[in-house]
Formats: sequence, C-alpha cells, structure tokens
Amino acid sequence: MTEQELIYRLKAGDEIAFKHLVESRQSLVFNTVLGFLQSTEDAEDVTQDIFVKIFESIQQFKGESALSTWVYRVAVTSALEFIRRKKRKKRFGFLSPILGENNEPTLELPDFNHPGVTLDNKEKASILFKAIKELPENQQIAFVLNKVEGLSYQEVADIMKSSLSAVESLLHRAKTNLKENLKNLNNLDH
Amino acid sequence: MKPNFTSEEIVNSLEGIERAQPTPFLYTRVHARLLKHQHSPEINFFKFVTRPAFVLGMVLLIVFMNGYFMMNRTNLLNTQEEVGQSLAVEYGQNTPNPYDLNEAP
Repeated sequence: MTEQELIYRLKAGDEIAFKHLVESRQSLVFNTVLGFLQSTEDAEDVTQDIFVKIFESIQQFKGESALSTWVYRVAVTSALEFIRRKKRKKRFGFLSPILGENNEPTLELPDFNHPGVTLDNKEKASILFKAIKELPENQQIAFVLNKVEGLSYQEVADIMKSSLSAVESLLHRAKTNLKENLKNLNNLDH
Repeated sequence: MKPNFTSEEIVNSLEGIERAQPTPFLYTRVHARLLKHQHSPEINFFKFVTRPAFVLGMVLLIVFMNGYFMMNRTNLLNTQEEVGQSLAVEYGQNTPNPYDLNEAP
C-alpha cells in the first residue's frame, strides 16, 4: 500500500488501512513516547490514545509533510501533554485526601531502564534519562528524537517545524545543559 | 558504591540504542479503545454540541428570543402598571396617604 493510498483509505475510515498504520508505526510511536515518559506502562497507554487520536483527526492531515512526520508530531505533543497533566496532578496532589479521590500514597518511580540500551550502558543511560527530564521542552524534543529515536537533524527539523541550524543549536545546548546538570546532580568529573 | 562515570560517558551512553517495542496485539487494544471512545456518551454529547448546525441554531434562537422580548417589552410594562393599580385599589392604597404631613388639611 503506497502512502497516498494509505492516507486516502484512512480518510475514508477504512479499518484495514488503520490496522496497517498501527502495525507499521507502532514501534515509532511507542519508542518516541517512551523516551519522554520513561515508563513502559504509561507509554503503552499513551500509544493507544495516540492511535485513537490519529484515527479521529486524520481529516486534519493536509499532506504537507510525510505521514510519519505528522505521526511523530502527534506522538510528541501527546507525550508532553501527558507529562504536563501528571505534573499538574502532582502539584494538586495534597487535595486528593480532602476530595477523597485517591488515598493511596504516591510512590516515586524507580530509575528508568530503556529496554533497547546495551547492558554495559544501562547504568549510565539510567542517569542520563533522569537528567533529560530536567531539560527545557524544546531541547528535550530534539534530544529524544535524535538520540533515542535515531532521527537525522533534518527529520527532527521537519517534525519541530524549524530550521536545520535551529535543531543543531538546540542539540548543542541540550548536551551542554545535560553535562552541567550531571555535574551538579552527581558530583561527576571531580 | 557511587558509580564513577564522566558526564561525557553518560551523555554518549545512548549510542547503539535499539528501538523499544510495545507488547504484542497492540492493534486489538487500540481497536477496543476506539470503539469505547466512539460510544462514550460524553464524547457523543461534545460532538453534538460542537456541530456547526447546532451552534448556528442556538445563536439564531438567542437572537430571536432577544428580539421577541424587546418587542414585547412595552406591552409587558403596561400590563405591570395595570396590575399595580388594581392591587392598590384592592388594598385601599389608591387614596392619599393619611400620614402624609405635607398634605393640606
């Protein structure tokens, strides 16, 4: 099935085309979302939501970019929305015992281990993922798409709707900030 | 024991990373969620009230009601005055106030 045919059939509400889309883009969406959320359960949940969103908003896809670029955009936006919602919930968490919504104690998640990282890099990657969370949103997007998802600078620029030089600059600043954060957090490079 | 890694080593630790895969049968779960989403009463209500025809209909209704009440405002005021007067007659309040000191004897 060509991309044009897939888009045409998706817009017509074809379920077989939708199944094809999910099966061909599931690892793309899941891996991207996992890079931001750093939790397999949350990433699975958000991945399902993203495909529902794609099915319902495919009419808004104008074909100005590749379908995968648009899917990446939906994935990044949804992942960041999920993080913001979670932070908001955490901020107003003190209200939950009063409102009686959830009386379970909130537990801090353990360090994240990405399943695709090689064994000898596991510990270092776990520290890095913790530091990625502290980056500003734009730098986080550029870093995750380039380093976790393995996209080229041009592909990252297309997804972020910015120029190649802007992405290069974002990645440079992201690395500098990460190194700085790592020094402060772990007292490294003493 | 505290690990002794340089920040450079940590930043480069994602080299050679492989893609993570979701658990099998993702499509089945997405399909189930899609059906649930499509049959949700909240979603259907939201879809109904945001339809352009519904929004336009509501705007026209408000404009029509506004116009209707503006046109009938004068009639309404006259009726209210009549009701006030008939009540005053019924309770004997249409005569001059006996406690009004400014009234001539």
